This record gives sequence, structure tokens and C-alpha cells, in this order.
Amino acid sequence: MRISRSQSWWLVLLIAVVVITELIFRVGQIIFYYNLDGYLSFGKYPQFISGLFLISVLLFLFAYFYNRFTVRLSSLLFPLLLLVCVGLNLQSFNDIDQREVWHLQRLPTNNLIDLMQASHDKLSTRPVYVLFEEHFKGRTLVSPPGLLNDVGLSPELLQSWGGLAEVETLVYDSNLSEQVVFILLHLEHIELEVKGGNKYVFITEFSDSTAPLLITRYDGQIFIVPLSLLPDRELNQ
Amino acid sequence: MINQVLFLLGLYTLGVLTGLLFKKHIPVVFICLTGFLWGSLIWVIAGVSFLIVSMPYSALNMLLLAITILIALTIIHIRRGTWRLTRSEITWFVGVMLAFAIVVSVATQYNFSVASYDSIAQIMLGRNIANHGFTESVTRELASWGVFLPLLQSASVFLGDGYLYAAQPAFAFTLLLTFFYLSQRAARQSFSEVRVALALALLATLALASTYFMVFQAFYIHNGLIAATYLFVAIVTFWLALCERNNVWLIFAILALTGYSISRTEAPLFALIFLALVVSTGQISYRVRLAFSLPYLIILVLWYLYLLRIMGAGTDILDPKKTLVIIGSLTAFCILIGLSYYRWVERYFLPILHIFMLGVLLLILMVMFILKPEDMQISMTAIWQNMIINGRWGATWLILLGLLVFGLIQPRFSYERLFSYGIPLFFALLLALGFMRAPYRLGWGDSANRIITHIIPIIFLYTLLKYGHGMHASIADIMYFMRKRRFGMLAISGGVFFLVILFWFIQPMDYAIGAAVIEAPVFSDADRTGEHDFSVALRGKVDNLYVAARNPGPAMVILDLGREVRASFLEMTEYHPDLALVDYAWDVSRDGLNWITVFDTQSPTNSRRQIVNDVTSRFWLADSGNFRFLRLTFRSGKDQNRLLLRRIAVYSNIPGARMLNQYLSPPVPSQ
Repeated sequence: MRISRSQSWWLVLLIAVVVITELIFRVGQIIFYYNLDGYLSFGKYPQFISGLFLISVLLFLFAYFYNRFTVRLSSLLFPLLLLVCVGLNLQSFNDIDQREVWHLQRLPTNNLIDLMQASHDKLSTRPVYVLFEEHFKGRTLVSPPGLLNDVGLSPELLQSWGGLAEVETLVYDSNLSEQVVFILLHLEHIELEVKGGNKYVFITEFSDSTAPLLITRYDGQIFIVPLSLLPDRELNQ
Repeated sequence: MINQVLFLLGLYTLGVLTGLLFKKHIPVVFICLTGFLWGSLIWVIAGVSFLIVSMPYSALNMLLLAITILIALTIIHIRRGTWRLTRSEITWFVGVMLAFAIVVSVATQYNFSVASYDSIAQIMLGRNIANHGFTESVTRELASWGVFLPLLQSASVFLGDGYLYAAQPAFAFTLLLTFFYLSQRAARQSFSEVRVALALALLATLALASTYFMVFQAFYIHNGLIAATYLFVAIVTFWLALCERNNVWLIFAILALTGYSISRTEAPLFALIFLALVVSTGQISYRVRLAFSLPYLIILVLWYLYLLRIMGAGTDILDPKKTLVIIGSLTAFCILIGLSYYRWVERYFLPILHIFMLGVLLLILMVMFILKPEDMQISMTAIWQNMIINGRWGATWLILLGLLVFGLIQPRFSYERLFSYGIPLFFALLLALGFMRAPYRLGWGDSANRIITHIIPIIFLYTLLKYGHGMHASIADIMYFMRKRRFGMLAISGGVFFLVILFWFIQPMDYAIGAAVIEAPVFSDADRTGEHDFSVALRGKVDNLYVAARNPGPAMVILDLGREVRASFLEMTEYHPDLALVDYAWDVSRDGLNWITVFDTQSPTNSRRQIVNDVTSRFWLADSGNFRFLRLTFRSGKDQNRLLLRRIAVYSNIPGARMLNQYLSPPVPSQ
């Protein structure tokens, strides 16, 4: 693209107008902002308004001096602005990533539980259902009255998401002794702390797959234990 | 892990084999690049069909179906001779497949997946579908999400995985390659210089790929990126069909539009905009119009009728009322397509359909602004601020908006209305949707912020075509454009200038934004973001968060505005009328030592308070002189007796504020 002498003058004039306008606005912004204090202020979005002003001036200039040259010249804005865009985006990438709790980080494993644990949203009891589905699908859960409600577990979701065959509420002696807990914690188990503070202990040691599961609370923790691992326990309805 | 790689590769292969049926009319490169899109779509549609007709949706059935389709495709390819590929076509197929396999494998090794509440809900829904089918609870939940992602995620149960962690990167990879390929192809339609087209397409691809939120969504398990990919492919293939006068592109366009429409519950409304714009060009015959749009429309109407029947009360996202709006829009468009058989419709109505749509939508928006001015203003500001600051888009939207404005002076290219009307209509509809729900909010997770992902690749392409055309426009084009548009451009620049002046004169300033909190009680777990401090109440209007003092009883908040100001009024928005402040006082001070009372509930004259609504009050500061510090003394409140606030704003004087004060003085007495 060849630029004639007169066109190059126009180009210089255009750039000069842009720079001078921006300067006037910046200075004007400071004056209005600090001295007039509220009166005739630029408001909440000074950059937005001065940007609008610049756009209107540029549009006017382009419209007034509209010819093949100005069209060609303005079309160069595309690659130039895209290069600026790439540069600014790359420069701010890390800053944007680290600005919030939500950022890109590698998960320790590909398990759904890890994804849930890494989430910053309140997922409350959802991971619990996943663990039920993974380890106790098709089994029956027995709960003392009120416990499920207290810990925010829904009997319906335990069946639909958790894959349990049945959820029963029974009145029984649900207290675990310290000795029993000590033994249980030496069996294969998964501990899960959900947002909201409840800590779950799933005893996943191999057990009779037909035996019901007990859900009970001990020292602020919620234990899910296959009944067959507690041979002496009777369910008193 | 290997199961997932093989599954995604299987979908890719299925898609490519399907696409190759049209290889005589469509470039093989396009088919190779978009294979994953068609494979995924087949999986989802097949799954939904199984579930609707109550056939068991199981791994075995889906495998048998896939094998049947593959055998059928093989037979068709052999009979039609489309299995014969040239060396370069084989190279493309193998190359893209290999690259796809590498991306998917790397994604399984390095899992960067991100999940929010929505992600987990959709994963769980998918698992539920695989385990139990379309039960009542499942279908009720489907009303909140599009069916695409849950159905795709349901495959994880068959694969023995917790979820599909490589699917999002696979879509991102497809979008990136397809964007580059289709951009340069579309650019070559608009101007013939191959090298320039390639360079501009590469630049646009780099800009898109460097945008943080796009990268984030490559790992964020949600429907945003999926919808963006399908919509982009749909629009570009529509445009290519019009430019190249090749109706086979329409098949891919309508398939992609189907993928888009089932990715989000409200997506069919956006899809209709673009479909109407294609029809309005008048370049597609009546028979073709019927053939490509009716099956799509009927399938969607049936799907939404099915949802309507089983959704019950629905959810906040899709309730029966909204479903009826969608069904009504789809049916109306069906009728329009049918009526376009008549010459008067084709001659007089279709050519102005785009203007009609824009007019109607603007009218609807005006009514919405009248009915819910506060909500609509919040939604509009939220969209704008998310695009520029809070949405994690980096500089992309600012640059794109600049390019769009200066694009006004570029000459027109063929069938530009698909973009020049499509983009504003998209945003107008997005804003209109805010009317039917809680207003949009600040932050990347806002649904409007995620929905604008759908349009961003299209805007990139539009600006590319616009400026690319400007680089190569003939003098005749420019002169024609100049005659037609010069006055319009001058008017626009004058209009923008007028806007600047208007903003300059009427915009008040909120001094409280960013003020320092010198003293405040301990605030805790006020809303969904967990613990945060008092500055949340100073973040401006577009925010539904609130602050809640942890302990009941008296509390004091002192703010430092950073400099002496003269303000018009202080606006306090409380959390809820049932938890309102009962006994409190507001004071201002120049030095933080000597305080002047603005308002005190214990004072006999409380003339400075104006009640705006049941949670918002204004306290006039015009006669309080200059001040720097602001103090809230909270003594007691209703119910929990805790200090709960949504927002505090201190507005600067605006021209005419004194006059207003005169009229409003004495202000409305407090209750």
C-alpha cells in the first residue's frame, strides 16, 4: 500500500488529534475529579466516557475524510488491535487466574470425589452420595430417627444418587464405644469432610454385601458401617 | 482412563464416518476437524431416543447401536464409493485423529478439570440417567440444564469412570481447529488473498485462545464451550451455504444448531434468531427451507412438550411458563416457514424479517425496562461489567467492542446481516431473558457471562470478515458505501458524542466504592462466597451479596472515603425487611474526631431520611458540608438483632442536585 505525501500528513494529523484529545480528557478528568468535587464529575466510569468520546471523534474523522485510503488504514486496526489483545491477555493471564479461588490446577486423581473436593462451591453432601454409590450400591441403610435430617442427607437422593436399595429409620442403640471406633478405624475406610463441617467415615472393608449399613454419629463424626462388621449389635425397633 | 480415550476417539470416528457421506460436496478437512461434534451429537440423540421410548439405556445397547451405525455407514460408503480417499485426505484424517488422540490422552493424564455446583449437578444427573433412566426426579432436573452435557457425562458410568474429564478439552480442541479452518475459509470467500486470510485467521485464533475465560472453560465442566462450538459451526456453515450456494452445508448447519439447541434450555430462542436471519436472505428456496428447518423445529417442539408434561412446577431456569414461550416461538416459526410458500410473505415479509425481529425485541425490552427498571438496569450493568472487568475475559471484549465500532466504516460483505443483525439480536435476547429470572450478577459464574461465550467466536469471525473485506474492497465498493453510509456514520458519531456529554453531566459518582473500612464488626458467611469483610457492601449496585455481622447486638462501622467530599445523599440497602435495622445512627466527619449527625432514630427530628422502598433508604447530605469519614452506629435490629446490609453508597452531587434538594426539602419524613 503506497501512501502519498498528502495522505501521510492526514495520518499525522489523525494521530495528533487522537493523542491531544486523550490528553485533554485525561487532564480534564483530573481537574473535574479533584477540584469540582462531584459537580460535573465524570462519574463512575471515566475511562468508559473518555473512550466513547475518542470513538466519536475518530468516527467523525473517518466519516469526514472517507476514501479508499482511510478504509485501508482503518482496516489495519484489525491485526493491530488483535496483537494488542493477545499481548494484554497473555500478560494478565496469570493475574486473572490467581485473582479468585477458582483457578486452573491439576487434580490429584481422576476420581469424582477429588473433583468435588477441589470445587469451591458449597457442594454440601453431594460427595457423600457419590461414595455411597461407589461402595454401597444396592444396599439398605439404617438410620436412627432424625440423623439423616440433621446431617442434611435426603433418603430419596440416597436411593437415586447413592444407589441404595432402601433407607430405613429405626430406633436402635446407635452409640459406638471408643473401643469399637478404634477397631473400625483400623479397617479399610474413607474419610470425607464436606463443606459445612461434617466429617464422614465410610468403613469400606470387605463385608457381607447383603448386610444393611448403619449410619451413626460418634464424636462429631458420622460413621457408615456395614452391620456385619458389628456382630454383637442388635437393632431394637 | 484408557476407556475414556477410546470412547472419545470412537465418537470422533463415528462423526467422521458420518460426515464423509457428504465428502463430494464438503471439504474432507472440515469433516475431519468436526468429527467429534457429530459423534457426540449422535450419542446424545441416540441416548435420548432410547430413554424416551423406554428402551434400556445401557452400555450394551449403546455399543450395539454404535456397531449397527458403523456397519450401515460402511455399507453406504462402499456402495457410494465415498470410502476412497485421496492421499491428502487420508493425511488430514490421520493427522487430526492423531492430534485429537494426543489431546484426549494428555487431558486424562493431566486432569485440570474445574467444577462448580452446576458441574457437579450435571455430572450427577448424567450418572442418574445411566443408572435409572428418565425417572421423575431426573426429568425434573433436566428442566434446569440442557440435555446434552448430562447425556454425554452419563457415558462415564458405562466406562467405569466418575465423570468425563477429557470431554471439555476435546471440545476446546475442536473449537480451536474449526475456528481457524472456517475463519480462513470464510475469509477467502470474502477476499481472495490466501496468505492474508491465513494470517488474519491465525491472529483471530490466537486472540481467542489467549482469552483467559476461554481457556478456563476448556476445563470447566459446563455447557458454555460446547454451545459455543456448535453455534459457531452452525453460523459459519449457514453463511458458507449462502455464499457458495451449496445446500449440503445446510445439513451440517442444522445439525450443529440442533447440538446448540439441546446444550442449554433457552438456547432454541437464540438459535431461532439465526435461523430467521438465514431465511430472511431469501436465497433458500421454499422446499429447501421446509426440508432443513421443519424437522429441526418439530423435534425441538416435541422435546419441550415432553419436558412440559413431566417437569411439574419446573425450576427457576425453566418453568412451564418459560417452556410455553419456547414452544410458542418454535411453533410460530414453523408457521412462518409454512406461510412462506405464499408469494406475498416471501416477497414482502421475509426480506424485512431481520428488521422486524430487531424492532419487536427492542419494543419488548422497552416494556421490560418499564416494568422492572431496577432489575433490568442491574442485568445490563452486570453484563457490561462482566465483559469488561469481572467476567475474566481479559482485554478481549474491550478490543472486540472497539473493532465492532470501527467496523461500521468498513464496506459491507455478502450476507453480512447474519452477523450484523445476529450479534445485536443475541445481546438483546440475552438481556430480555434477564427479565424472566433473578437479575444477572457480577462474576464469571453468572449465566449471562457464560452465555456470551457462545457469541464470542462469531464476533471474532465477523470482525475478521469485515476488516478483511475493507483491506481488499474495490474503489467502486467504497464509493458506493460512502454515498450510502456517510451521513449515517456522521450521525452515529454525533450520537455517541451526545451520549458522552449526557453521561458527563448526569452521572453521579459513588464515593463509597473502594472506601477503606476503619472499623467494623466481624462478618461471616453472609452468602454463597463464604466469609468476607464489610467491603462487599461497598462494591456497587450490581451485587446480590450481603454482609452479616457474626454476633448480635450493637456494632459500629466507620468508613474512610480517602478524601474530603461533598455528597448529595447516602443510600443504605438493607438485607431484608424482616431483619431491618431498628435503632441506628449515621454521622459524618471531616477529621474522624468531630462527628455531625446526619440521622439518628433516637432524634426527635429525622427529616433527612427518604424511604425508597422496604429495604432502601436515602439520607440527605447536601447540607452536611465537606466530610471524609462516615459512621454507622447500630444499636438494635429486628429478629436476629444482627447488622445485615446489602449496600452502602454515597452519591456525589449531580447538576441540578441543589435544585432537587430544594424541592425535596424537607424530605419525606421517616416512619
